[in-house]
Amino acid sequence: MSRRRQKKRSQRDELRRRKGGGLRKAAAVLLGVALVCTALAAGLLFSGLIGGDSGPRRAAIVDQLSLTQPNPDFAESATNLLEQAGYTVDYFPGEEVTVELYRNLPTHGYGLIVLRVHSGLTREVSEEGATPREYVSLFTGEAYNDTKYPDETFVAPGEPVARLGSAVYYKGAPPLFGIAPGFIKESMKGKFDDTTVILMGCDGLKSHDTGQAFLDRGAGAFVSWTQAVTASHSDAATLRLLEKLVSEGLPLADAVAQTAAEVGPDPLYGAELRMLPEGG
Amino acid sequence: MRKLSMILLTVGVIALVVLITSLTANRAWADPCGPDEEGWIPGCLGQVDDFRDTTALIGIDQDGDCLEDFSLVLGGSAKVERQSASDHTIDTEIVSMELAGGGLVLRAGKYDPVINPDINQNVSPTFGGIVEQAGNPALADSFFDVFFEISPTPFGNLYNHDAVRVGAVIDRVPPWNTTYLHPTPLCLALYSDPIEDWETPVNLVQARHSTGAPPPTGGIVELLVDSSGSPARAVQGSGSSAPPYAAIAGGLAAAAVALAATGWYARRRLLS
Repeated sequence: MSRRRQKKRSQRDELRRRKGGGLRKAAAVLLGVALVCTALAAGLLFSGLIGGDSGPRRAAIVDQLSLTQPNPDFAESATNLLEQAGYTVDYFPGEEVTVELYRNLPTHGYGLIVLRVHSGLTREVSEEGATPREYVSLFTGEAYNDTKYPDETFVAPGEPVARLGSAVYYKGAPPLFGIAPGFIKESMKGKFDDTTVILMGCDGLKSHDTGQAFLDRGAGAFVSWTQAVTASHSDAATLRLLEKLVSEGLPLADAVAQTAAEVGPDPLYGAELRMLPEGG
Repeated sequence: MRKLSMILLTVGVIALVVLITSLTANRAWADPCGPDEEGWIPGCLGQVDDFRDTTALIGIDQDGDCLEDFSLVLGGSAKVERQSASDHTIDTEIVSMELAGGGLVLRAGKYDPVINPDINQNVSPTFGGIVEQAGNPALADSFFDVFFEISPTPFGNLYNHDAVRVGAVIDRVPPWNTTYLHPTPLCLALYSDPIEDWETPVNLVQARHSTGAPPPTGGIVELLVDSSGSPARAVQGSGSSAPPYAAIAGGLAAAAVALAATGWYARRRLLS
């Protein structure tokens, strides 16, 4: 073998070695990319950002009231009741009750949602003044700022009223974002899967508008109060309702009727427990 | 190979973190804080209690004889900050109180430009405490040493230099429907300045304050409506509400391509 041929072969081997090293690196990077993509997709699936969980045995306790009227016993007892009945429970304290939490609420596949939130009778405000209405909007724990969600804070074309509003516990209190029925109908993502929604705040069924918005979004039933209610009465009634519903396995309409009869109206404000659709 | 191992390890850790984060529910709640429990005070966490519908009764002597010349019923709100319990006591402070009635306004709490902007800046803060009863740990003695301002009066604004102590026995916090009072007799000199000894003939001879009922779980929500000339401005639709299916599909497609390329490379290496 001539020296020239030997040299040519060694050059060829060197080239192959370099090429092989490059390919190996490329393969390692590609494998890494594949694993990262798979992990991210799995993570998103598990986090409920897509698809949601199709199983009906998930429940959420949205505890916006924990900011002003905390009742750790309620949260713990309700969680225990639901878990003993086979539900997995997500608990959201007041600080986590944001516009985005409400927006994504239907995507998690909850079978039962307990909204332990302030709900306020709505005033529709125009330049001519404010008109009181009988439907409620739901409180978040997120500070109000009309530049944060302008598409929903101001009126969208073709809609009569804004989807988000300014919510205060009392005149002069710092405003929070309020969730209007329009937000439930138009801004929430996905559909509820025959979900039972229990709104523990005031006046939820003084009018049917808010409850109907949940039903239109796929909820199976909406349970709430006919007038203002104290947190202590609403807490006691909701625990009794959950016992009847998930522990004793009563149909919702029976559970609501029996609970309403047992706990009675709110002793201070007179609110009574009712449900939509009426009569179950 | 070492690089490949590092990459795999990193990916594994990322995947684990994503899974743990997505599967862990957030459950943060405080310990219970009365009633119907013995020794409830050590479990109490700090917070601000908002009493929106309180009522006070004050008796005024205006000629210096310590006998009540008239009384006033005042109504309004009070905010009380309580610290987390330490041992068997809780430190408290009235951060703001404003009660009105009979043409007078009674304010208490330290001046604060946001929380308590209308009170004289030299009024002393009102501190208090909650102390578990030694003989009955289901109950506690709650008290406040109140410094206040009454305005307007014919003698100018009136202030106390010595605190008026009001107290009550409570079985929970917040203590709804509880009346704090000063035991009789009371004759507390009032001055026309919170610091200077500018005396007046006026004395406070009665003080009681009821915390009122718990507030309802309601509120007021204001929504803008679409009407001509309204402050609302129309917007061009709302943000997309579609889930990020495209991003997920893209990620999965990228994963598939990367896996195919890896397989192709491995096959090529094995066959060569």
